[in-house]
Amino acid sequence: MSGLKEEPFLYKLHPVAKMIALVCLFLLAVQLESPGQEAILLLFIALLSFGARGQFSSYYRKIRTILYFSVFIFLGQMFFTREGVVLCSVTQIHLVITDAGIQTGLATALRFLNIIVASFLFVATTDGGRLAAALMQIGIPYRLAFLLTLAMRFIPVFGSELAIVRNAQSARGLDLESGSVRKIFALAKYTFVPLIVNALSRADGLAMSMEGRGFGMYKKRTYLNKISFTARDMAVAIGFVIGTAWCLC
Amino acid sequence: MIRVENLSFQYRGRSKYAIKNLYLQVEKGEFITITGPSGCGKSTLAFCLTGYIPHGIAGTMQGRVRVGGFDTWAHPVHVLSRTTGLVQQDPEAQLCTTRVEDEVAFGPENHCLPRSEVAARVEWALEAVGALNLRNRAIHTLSGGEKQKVAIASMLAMRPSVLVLDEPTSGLDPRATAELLEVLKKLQNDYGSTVIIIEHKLEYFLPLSSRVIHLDNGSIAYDRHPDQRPGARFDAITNNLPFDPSGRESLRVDALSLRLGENYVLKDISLSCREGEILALMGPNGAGKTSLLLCIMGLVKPTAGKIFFRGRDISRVIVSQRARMMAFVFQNPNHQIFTDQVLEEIYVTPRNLGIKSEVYRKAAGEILQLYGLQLYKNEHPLALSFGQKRRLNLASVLCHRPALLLLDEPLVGQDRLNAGQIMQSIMRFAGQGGTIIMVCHDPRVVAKYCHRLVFIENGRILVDKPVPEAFAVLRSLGKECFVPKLCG
Repeated sequence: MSGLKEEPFLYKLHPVAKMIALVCLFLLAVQLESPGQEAILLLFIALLSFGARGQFSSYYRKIRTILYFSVFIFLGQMFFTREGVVLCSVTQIHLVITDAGIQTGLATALRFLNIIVASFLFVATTDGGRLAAALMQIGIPYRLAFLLTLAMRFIPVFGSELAIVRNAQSARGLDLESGSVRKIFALAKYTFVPLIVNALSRADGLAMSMEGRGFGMYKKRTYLNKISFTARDMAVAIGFVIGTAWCLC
Repeated sequence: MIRVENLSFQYRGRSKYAIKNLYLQVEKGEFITITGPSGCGKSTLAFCLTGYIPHGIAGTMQGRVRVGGFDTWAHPVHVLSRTTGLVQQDPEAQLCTTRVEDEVAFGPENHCLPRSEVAARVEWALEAVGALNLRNRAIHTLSGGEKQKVAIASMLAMRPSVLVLDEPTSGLDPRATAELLEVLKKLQNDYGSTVIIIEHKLEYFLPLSSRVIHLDNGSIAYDRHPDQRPGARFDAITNNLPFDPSGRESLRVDALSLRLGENYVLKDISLSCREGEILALMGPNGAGKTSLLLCIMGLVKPTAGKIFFRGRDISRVIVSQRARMMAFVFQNPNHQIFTDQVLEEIYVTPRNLGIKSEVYRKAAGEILQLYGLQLYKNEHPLALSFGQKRRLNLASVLCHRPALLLLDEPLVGQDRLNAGQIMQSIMRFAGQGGTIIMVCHDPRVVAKYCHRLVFIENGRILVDKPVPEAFAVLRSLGKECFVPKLCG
């Protein structure tokens, strides 16, 4: 992402400002009650995603799956809510659809979408290393914040190792697609043992590499790349906090 | 620069000394190659020279080590890190940030150097290893060779006077190894660094070395100029392997292509191998060698082309069925050890394939005997040495008697003795009519043990010939680094 010539607005925003905005969006999604309000919030988040431009495109496919799931949530809520004015009923199969059922279903499905889409937007526009560096620079102890960098560093490694282990299992005749509960447990063991062994063997090397470069030597450290909290970041953060407070009051 | 006096070290819980009464003196600017069999104490010595012993690794140390005037007893690792840096075998395990620039800046930042100084050091270190172009790359997008360059740069940024490298080329192809050699040459010539490298690939590093030290059982067996070491000159590598070229065809790959997105990983690959044949796959990292093996095994579905096994089209046969005919050994031993007992590990494949227990139990006993693992059959596989684990990987795919063995770099990290033992096992399998396709980065091993060499570059077969002719073609194509060198 950092190799892009012109970074999208949301990517350039200070990660901490984005975190504050995300928390505000979560609060709104949870506290708003009517489907109309949730729909407006979704529209707002969709508008925000224009600030991510191409960065968000890789998440469209994942969001499509989430959309199917939210339809499922809507139908579930609609069919199982009995309160309110009955709009339609099929007595033979005890099916009752009420206005409250539709309202609750829509609100729950939209709430779910709001939380997930806002999270995707944050992840799509925030580099993990930059987030950790920003947290360290605003005063979070760097030994703690660095755990996030390590997680971001090793998630791709873990993913590729998982693929290798599964290939190794298939090559030895293990059918990964089907099986009994006992087989599933065996498969889980066959997967986690090699992954954990590798992770542990790496942990020693990593600890040595970090210690050998002075990690933890001083309470504070310097940073090559300063991530400064600009007036624009401050305006965005304050704007979200005030906006959220106004909506909820 | 370095003075080691009467050094002994015993790991906690071990009865044997890893290093015993060792004396060593190294002058500034020297380039020293340390070699010796696995378990002889090479890595332990590296830990002692960089302060991890006595400060991080549990055990009992006696004697004294001074590096750049610092006594390792008296100074913690982070203080010693200004004088001496350790580059480890696995670059993946020593990079801890997500971007190259952050990685190289990591040490100077921890030492609280001013921003301008950190920037200057990052620039210098990346330039020294020829990796300025990688500056803004994400770590997970780098190749193995690039990661190793970044690991070295991240140590250089600490400006150590002594750089210790512990088998840095074990996962690198010959081209990346040659590039690393150039980096070390530059460090020595331009910056006067003292370099101590632990390696098995002597043919690369001896020409640079002022001394070669051979460790055995924790002591120095000899410490001489490379020209004066015992057995310094090898004869030309001979290959007199028996092989019947008129034997039955076991595998045929026909116009196989694999496309990922817009790029072809493999393009129009056609080859065939016969029973008893050992075929080496060579080529730069990322050329498509492993992908070809994965396609043959059915773990990756090719975009086009067919695969025939003993004349039968198996292109649509699923992996668990192909596992009856062929076996795959992956690069990292730990990725393919699933159980908590050596014997159980051997049983995994035949059980999955539904073979009768009396059949596989008998076969398992014979295989354990053959692979020198009989004594360890009740041990936990992870308690085995690296070489033993590799033999177990091989043994654990042979119990159901597959006809084709696909090996992805089976000799990574193995010393000459272990590599020889593994290759003997492979030759035994070929001698019984099995076919082997083996990815290998060591030209000497290919020259000594393989019948045919297929060289892949950018997903296409560049050379497919009997080994001596293939090396001649590679030489004529200017790919000298893939051709065996005479050592000494």
